[in-house]
Amino acid sequence: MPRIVFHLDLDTFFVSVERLLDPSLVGKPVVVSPGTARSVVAAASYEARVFGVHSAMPFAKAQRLCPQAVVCPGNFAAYAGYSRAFFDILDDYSPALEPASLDEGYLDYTGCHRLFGPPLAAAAAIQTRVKEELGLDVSVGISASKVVAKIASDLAKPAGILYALPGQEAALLAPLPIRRLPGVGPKTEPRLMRLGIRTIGDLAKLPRELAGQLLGTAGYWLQDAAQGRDDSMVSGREQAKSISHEETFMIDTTDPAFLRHALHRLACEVGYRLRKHGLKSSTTCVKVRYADFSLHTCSQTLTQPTDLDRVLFASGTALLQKVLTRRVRIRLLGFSARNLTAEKAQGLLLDLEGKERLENLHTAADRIRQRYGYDTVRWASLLRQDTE
Amino acid sequence: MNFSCKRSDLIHGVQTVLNAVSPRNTLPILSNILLEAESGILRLTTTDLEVSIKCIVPADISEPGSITIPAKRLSEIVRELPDSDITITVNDNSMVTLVCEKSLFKINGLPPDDFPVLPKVKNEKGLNLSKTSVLDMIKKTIFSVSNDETRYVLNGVLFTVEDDVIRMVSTDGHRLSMIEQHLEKNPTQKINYIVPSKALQELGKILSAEGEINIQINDNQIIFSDEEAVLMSRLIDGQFPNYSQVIPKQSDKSVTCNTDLLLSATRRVALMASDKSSSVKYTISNNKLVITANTPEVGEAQEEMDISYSGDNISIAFNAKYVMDVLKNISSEECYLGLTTSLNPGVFKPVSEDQQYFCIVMPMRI
Repeated sequence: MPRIVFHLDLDTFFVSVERLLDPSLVGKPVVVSPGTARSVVAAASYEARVFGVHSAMPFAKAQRLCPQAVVCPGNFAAYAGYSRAFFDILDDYSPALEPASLDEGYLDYTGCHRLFGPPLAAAAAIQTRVKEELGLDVSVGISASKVVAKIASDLAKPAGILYALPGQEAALLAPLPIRRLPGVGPKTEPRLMRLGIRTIGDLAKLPRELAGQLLGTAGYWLQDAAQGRDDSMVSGREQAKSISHEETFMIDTTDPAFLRHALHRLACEVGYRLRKHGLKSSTTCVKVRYADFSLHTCSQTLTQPTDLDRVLFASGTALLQKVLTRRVRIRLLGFSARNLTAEKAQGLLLDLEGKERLENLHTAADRIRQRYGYDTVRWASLLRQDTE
Repeated sequence: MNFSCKRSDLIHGVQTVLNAVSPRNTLPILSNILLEAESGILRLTTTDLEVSIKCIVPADISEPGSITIPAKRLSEIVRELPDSDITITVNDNSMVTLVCEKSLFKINGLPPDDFPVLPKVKNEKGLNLSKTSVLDMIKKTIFSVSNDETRYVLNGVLFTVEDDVIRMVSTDGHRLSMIEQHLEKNPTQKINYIVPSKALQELGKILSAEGEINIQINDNQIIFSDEEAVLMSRLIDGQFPNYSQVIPKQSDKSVTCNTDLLLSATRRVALMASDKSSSVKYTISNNKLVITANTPEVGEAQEEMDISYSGDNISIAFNAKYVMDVLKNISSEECYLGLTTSLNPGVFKPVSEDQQYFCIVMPMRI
C-alpha cells in the first residue's frame, strides 16, 4: 500500500501571528527581527518579500531594501503557543505526527481515510479548522514520501493544497529549479549549476554513479529525492536530547563579569525548561564562539542528574574557565544540558546542602513564572546588570 | 646494606605494603618501597602520603642499612623467583643487587633520605580489639561510604568508642549503615574520628590472621598495628553529620522475610530496572511481597514472595543496588524491614544477631 504523507506548513507564520496580535499590520510589509545591528530577519511578510527581503538576511540589509517595513521584535512565547495549538489540531488526524519546526510538520495519513475521508478532504478539513480556530493559513502538500510532500506544500502556498498522485511525482518535480529540492543549499547549487544541472529533472536523469561521484552518499539520496523516492518515515515526536540556550552579544567582549552574568542567565533558562519538562540533566556543556567565528566547547558529567539553577550554573562556571583559552573577544555564549532523564528521584536521607529547600524554592518560583511570565522571578544576582 | 631472607617472607612483606602505593604518583619516591635492615628484621614501608603501611619480616642481616626500590618492579621480580633464599646488597650509588640461586638482578634504587618521614608510633597502650570483629564491622559499613569528593566528611567511616560500645557509621546521603559492638572492659580512651575508606579497605586486605589488633590515635593519624604490620592513615578533618536524627525512632510496619530469597529476587527483578536509577518497587500486603521493575521501551519484571507481615498495604521503591548491598551483609537467615510511609526511610536489619547492625535506605519517589 503506498503511504500518504502530509506536509503542513503555516504561511508566513511569525508575521501572521503578529497580525493576529496587531490587526493594523495587515496589508503592510512586516519584518520580524530583534532589529539590532547584528540581528538577522526571522520572517518577512509577502509584502516585504516583494522588495527582496527574505528570512536569515542581515537586518541591516533588509532595512536598506525595504525601509518602510514595520519591524516586530518577535514574540516567541506567542509563536510557541500558536504552534502548540496547531500541532494539537494535527494530533486529531493521525497518531504519526513529526513536528519539523514551530510552523511545519509531517503527518502520516496512511490508513486514516476510513476515519476522515480521502486525503484531499482531510487536508481541506485541517485547513478550515486551523483558519477558524487559530486564524492562520496553512498550506498542505500530499504525497507518498516526505520529500515530495514538502516540495508540494511549498508549491501550494499560499493557503493551498497540492496532491502529488502516486506515479506523478517525478513529472511534478522535473521542471522545478534544483534549489527547491530539500538538501540543495548554497554550496551544492552552484556545483550542480556548473555542470548544467538546473532543474530537479536534470538531476533525476543523471547517471547514478555520477551523482555519487559528484556529491558522495548525499548524491544518491538527492537523486532518489529528485525522482520522487524517499523512504524516510514520519518518525513521530521525539524526546528532547538536549536543552540549550545561547546568546550573541551586541558587542564582542572579554569581560569576565559580563560573561559570568550571561552564563548565569542562560543556565537559569535551561534549568527552568528542564523542570518544566520534568527532566534532569547529567551532562552540561558550554559553547563559546570567538569574534573570529572559531567555536570552542567543553562539557562535564555531573555526579548526580540535576535540574537546579545553582548546580547548573556552578558547573557552567567551571566549564567556562576551562573553555576560555584564547585572548580573543567572545561573540556568542551558549549553555546546554544533555543526557536528559526523567528518572524517579532518589530521596535524601541527609540533606547536607539544603537541596530540599532549594528544590521547593524552584518549584514555587516556577509556579509564579507559569502564571505571570518568566521574568517575574529571578535570582538577585541577575538583576544588577539589567538596570545598569 | 646486605641481607638475605626467604623468598616466601619477602613476598609476604612486599604484598602487604604494595597496596599503599598509588598507581598515579606525583613524586617518584612514592612508587618505591623503603627497605630497612637492622637487628634480625627487614622493615618494608610504603606510603601515598595519606595511608602508609609498614611490615616486618625476618631476615639475616650481614650489614644494616636502608634503600628504596621501585615497588611494582620488586614485586614482579620476587614473584617470579624460585622458592629459595634471596640476598640483597646495595652499593654506594644506590644500585641494588638481588641474587637468588642462579638469578641476578640489578635495580636502580633511590636513596632512603628522600623517603617521607612517617609519624612515629608511640608506645602507648591504645585499644585492643579482635581482628575478626573489626573486619566484620568494616565490611558491614564500608559499602555506604560516599565517593563524592566534594563531600569529604562522608568519604570515610565514623569510628567511635564510648563507654563499652564501639561503633562504626557511614553514609552517602542516600543511605546509612551503623554497627555497634560491646567491649568486655571499658577502654581508657574515648575515640571519635572519621577514617578514610581507603585506609579501611587496605586494612581489610592485610588483616587476615586471628588475634588482636591495636588501635592508637596520634595527632591527626590513626594507627592500626599487629605483630608484623602497621597501617597508618590520615584522619578526615571535619564534623560528621548528625546522623542520629535520621534514624527512625519506630517503624509501624514490620516485615520479616528470608534474607537470601529477598536478595536473589531483588537481583533478578533489578535486571529490568533502568540503568541510571535502578529503581525497584516493593508492594507489601498481607504476608505477600511483590517486587516489580520496569524500563519504558525495554520491558518489566515481577516476582512474588512470601513474607511475614500484617498491616496496611504499602508500596515503596528503592534503588536495587542499595538493597542488595545491605542484604549481602546480613548474615542471619531472616531479615527485618521496618517501614512507615513510602516517602520515609526503610530500616533493614538482621533478625537475631548479638551485634547491633542496621542500614537505613531512603526510598525513591514512585
